[in-house]
Amino acid sequence: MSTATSAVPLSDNVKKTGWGLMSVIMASSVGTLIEWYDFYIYGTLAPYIAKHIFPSDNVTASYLAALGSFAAGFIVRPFGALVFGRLGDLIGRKYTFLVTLLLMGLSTFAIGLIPGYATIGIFAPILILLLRLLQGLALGGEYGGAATYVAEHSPDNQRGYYTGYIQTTATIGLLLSIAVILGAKNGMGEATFDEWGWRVPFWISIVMVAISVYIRLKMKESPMFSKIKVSGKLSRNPLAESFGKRENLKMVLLALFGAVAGQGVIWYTGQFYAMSFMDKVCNIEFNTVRYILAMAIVFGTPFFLVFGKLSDRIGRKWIMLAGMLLGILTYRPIYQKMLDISSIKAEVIAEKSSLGRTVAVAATGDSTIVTTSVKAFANGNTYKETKTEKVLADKSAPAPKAEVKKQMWLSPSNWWIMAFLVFIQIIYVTMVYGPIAAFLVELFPTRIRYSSMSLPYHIGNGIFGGLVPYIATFLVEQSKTADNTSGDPLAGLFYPMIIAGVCMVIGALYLPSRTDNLNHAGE
Amino acid sequence: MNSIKRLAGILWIVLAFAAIAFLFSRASAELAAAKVTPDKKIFWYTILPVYTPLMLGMALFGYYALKGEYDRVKGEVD
Repeated sequence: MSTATSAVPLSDNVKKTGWGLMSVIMASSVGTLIEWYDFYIYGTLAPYIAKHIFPSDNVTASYLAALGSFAAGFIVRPFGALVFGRLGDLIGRKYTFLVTLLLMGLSTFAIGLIPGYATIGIFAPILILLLRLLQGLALGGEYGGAATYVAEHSPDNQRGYYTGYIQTTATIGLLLSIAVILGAKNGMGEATFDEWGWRVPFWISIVMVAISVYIRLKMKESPMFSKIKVSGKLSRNPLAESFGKRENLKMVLLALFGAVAGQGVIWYTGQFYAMSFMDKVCNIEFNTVRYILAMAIVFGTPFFLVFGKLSDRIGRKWIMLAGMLLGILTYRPIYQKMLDISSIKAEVIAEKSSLGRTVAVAATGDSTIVTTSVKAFANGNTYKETKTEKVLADKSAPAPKAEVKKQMWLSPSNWWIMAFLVFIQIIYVTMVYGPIAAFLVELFPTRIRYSSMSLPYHIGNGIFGGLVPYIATFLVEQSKTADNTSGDPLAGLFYPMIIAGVCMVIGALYLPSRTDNLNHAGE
Repeated sequence: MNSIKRLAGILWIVLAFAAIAFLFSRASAELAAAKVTPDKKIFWYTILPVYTPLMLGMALFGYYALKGEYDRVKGEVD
């Protein structure tokens, strides 16, 4: 494998500028954005899916629910990267990411059509699991194609900036999913949304995918790929070449352990663990959490382009590593502040508790008692706790555990402080994620680029990053002892901090400040 | 700088195998407990098969570093 000596000069049409290039970027980005939207609505609507598809009283179905959420969603992504990365290096970028888009769109639409557990029993969770697997595979194939496609169209000195547009799609996809869900929920009301309305965001996907497929069909193949195809320099076996040859495998490992693993945990901590932390630890009300996150994303998203552009001038490496370092140093104080401003230990200025109120009596004689208590705090926050107890008619049967729903509404000033704390984390996300597409693309030669960059990207983001909320929640549970039943709510942060720390040291030692394998076929 | 890169390779190998040993010891201790919740089972049966190969990959990375494979990276621009 040669390097500089095998340079393939760029054709003039690669060096597009202005609207020509912008149309390429937009056409790629819209499809990628829709794929992220499809992927995220499943997670955002998980409580509704769990209720209708995965009943908690069926152990097998519950197991499938857990596997579906974790294994299918994230762990399958690297396999999608292998399958579609290989296709992308063999038949081209354009047709491969057209297939991933269709696969994702149809899977998402189908999720919205699956009848509930009450109708088709165990087939409901099995079908959902299979469709979620297809979603993961599709996403695994999509990103590498889109990033490669845009990078191969971009001028050398602006690659970070132009691939920055692809980098915004994941965050905007999340924003879009939140907007559609909140819009549907507010538009049709909670009861209708709960009954069948939660399916609408899945159905909407098919319309967006149809538009995106139409746009993508009009796109041309990447000029660099076309060039090496014409000259007969395509790889015959991209997977064997990417991962079987020491020369490339060592670069894949460097990309994973020196950049993408750290980037993945910073990204998923900033966006998803922050959301999960506000939901489950701070007990902030559902819609409030989504609005806070949306606000932080709206103000943070332009920084993907800012750091992408900056990386064109000063290099990708140190921007990404600085993002990791800032995360390591500030996560604990940031999350401590998030806890403090939503604490129920604040000074109470008013308190009102209702007596237990029987709201329903079933035909069996079982009754449901609901008790609510409301507290107003001196810092302006309001807290409501709703306890639902089921009293069985059969007194000899063991009493079911009471359900307690906790909801905190923040005062306007605390709302903005919380949004700012999430915004800071989104800035870290933009620092690590903004330049990474250009960085990965430049690390690998054209003939195996799609395969080589997709795998470390999806291991770093799908596994190291995607499992952040899961592992962090587990660590918090592990910190609970007999003496301290609530545990250390910040214990979960150790996982992203350790991964980012190791990755940062590896990156600082081994990553080159600049690489450029983009104009080389690499044969 | 290259000698530091190579020496650090040993650290990555040790770290990778230490992580594997840690994960397996924690998993066996928790799964052997009298009361194992389904959540814990799912956690460990997910984490072990996923992270073990990744840590082996890290050990391989350390081996390459030790052998001086990263003294200069392909396509590096000065």
